[in-house]
Amino acid sequence: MSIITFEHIKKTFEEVMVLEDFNLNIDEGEFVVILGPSGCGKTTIIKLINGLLKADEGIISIRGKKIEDWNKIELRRSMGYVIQQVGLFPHLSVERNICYTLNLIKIDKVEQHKRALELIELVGLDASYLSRYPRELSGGQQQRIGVARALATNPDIILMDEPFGAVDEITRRGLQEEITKIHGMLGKTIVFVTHDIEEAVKLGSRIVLLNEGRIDRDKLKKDFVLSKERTDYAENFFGSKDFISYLNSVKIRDCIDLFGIDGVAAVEVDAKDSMVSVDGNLSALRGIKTCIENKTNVLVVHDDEGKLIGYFTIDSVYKHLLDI
Amino acid sequence: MGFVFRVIELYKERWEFFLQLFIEHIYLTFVAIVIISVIGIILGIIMTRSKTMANIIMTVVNLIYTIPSIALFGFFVSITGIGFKSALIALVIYGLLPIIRNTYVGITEVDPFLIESAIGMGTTNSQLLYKVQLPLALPVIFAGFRTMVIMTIALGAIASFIGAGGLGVAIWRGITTYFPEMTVAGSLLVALLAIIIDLFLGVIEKNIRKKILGT
Repeated sequence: MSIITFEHIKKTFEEVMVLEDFNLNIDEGEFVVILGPSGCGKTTIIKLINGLLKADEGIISIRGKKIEDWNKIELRRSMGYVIQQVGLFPHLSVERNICYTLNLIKIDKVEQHKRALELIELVGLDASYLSRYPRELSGGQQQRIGVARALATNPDIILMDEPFGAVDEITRRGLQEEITKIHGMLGKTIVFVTHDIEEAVKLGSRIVLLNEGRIDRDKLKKDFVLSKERTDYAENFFGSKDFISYLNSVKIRDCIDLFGIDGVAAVEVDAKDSMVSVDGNLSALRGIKTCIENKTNVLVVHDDEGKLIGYFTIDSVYKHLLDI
Repeated sequence: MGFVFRVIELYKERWEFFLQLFIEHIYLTFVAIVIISVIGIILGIIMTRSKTMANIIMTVVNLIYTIPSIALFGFFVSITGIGFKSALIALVIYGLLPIIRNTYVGITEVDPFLIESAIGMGTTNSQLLYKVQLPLALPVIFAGFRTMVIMTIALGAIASFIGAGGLGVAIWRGITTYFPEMTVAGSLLVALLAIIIDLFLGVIEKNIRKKILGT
């Protein structure tokens, strides 16, 4: 069921066209990444959803109700909102920050504390952080709190506007994993804006590429990356970076062959011990790299406990990508 | 040295007189400070809501500030007569500038991304003011308050020229009766009051800054 719909939306800022005849349907539980270069109207889309901006023309519906019919305050309270600048309140402790929206709707203080404890753990920090102040945290920790705050009222929609744009590469990877985990656990609808191709491919279940206020390409992730028809714009924007990112997000254990396991014909047993072994949780791209580094075309794949789970070959990647 | 002893002697002899002036002075300035704070903060908030209002209020307040204080006192004597009321009005009008300006600046300088995320999370206008803007502007507003308080205490000495009492009475009497010890005794008490209150407010300001800005 669609939870957010844009129909023929037009939005201009001082005569400059930002969105033109923009149509988008977002289903419940989707992780939609809106991807595009700076100034392509990404942030405008987010702000139209939570009513910070108003469309010039067209209809936006949230949960089946036109946005004009929503009480703006209630609408915003029913969505999580995370921005790049984080926007934690410096005069409030981490706990008060997390409970900010709960406080607005006057939830019982004991309940608030309970929720803060749950959330801080969910975003991968421990309870000792609750009494600290935002200035005492690193950028990555601050954004974790920003995510916790957005989840506080348990909203079904979360809007994220380049949330990890200002943190370093390693921290960003941690935050991306966290948000993927949270999406998997809580099944919320997430609308995520970014200009980072790798981030888009890693996170989204569906990717929408924008080109000056128009949708250039809108597909589920795998189709988005692998289907052949592309506009010149998409070709230019991606090159092969989306494909590389996709290989980077696919795990080795998802594209292995089962020779010799489950009754499939075995590779010669004596060869097995001399073969290179890899962890199945690494990315397919790492698998390919390992193949090349070791001048071999077969890798033994093991799981967390070191148990053999199959064999990785470039051919197995090919089969996985094409679903054969 | 003889002069200093004569001043101390004067305090000893006429302590009841000075105590009464001291209390009058505190009373006048205290009432003025309360009124200034209330009006000033409200006007400062109004200014943040409308650019036109901001321009009008700031122009008027700046204009008033250019009038010499003694002239302002004289002006109000011709309207509200001699005494406490005229002095109070003049003190209030004169003290508004720092508090209005700092309230306005404090609120407008709150990080726009904080405001945006607060609104995006469903903060109403009044919640935005009480939960975000005023708390974050507090260090700046308080700095303006401190300036205003010291200014009002000092200016309160002139208020006695229009019959509002206070330590200015001693200064004025000293001048008119060629009694420099009296003038110095009165001035010293005004200065003492201002310094002590300033130190006290300085400590509070530091605590507020530490709590809100962490520095």
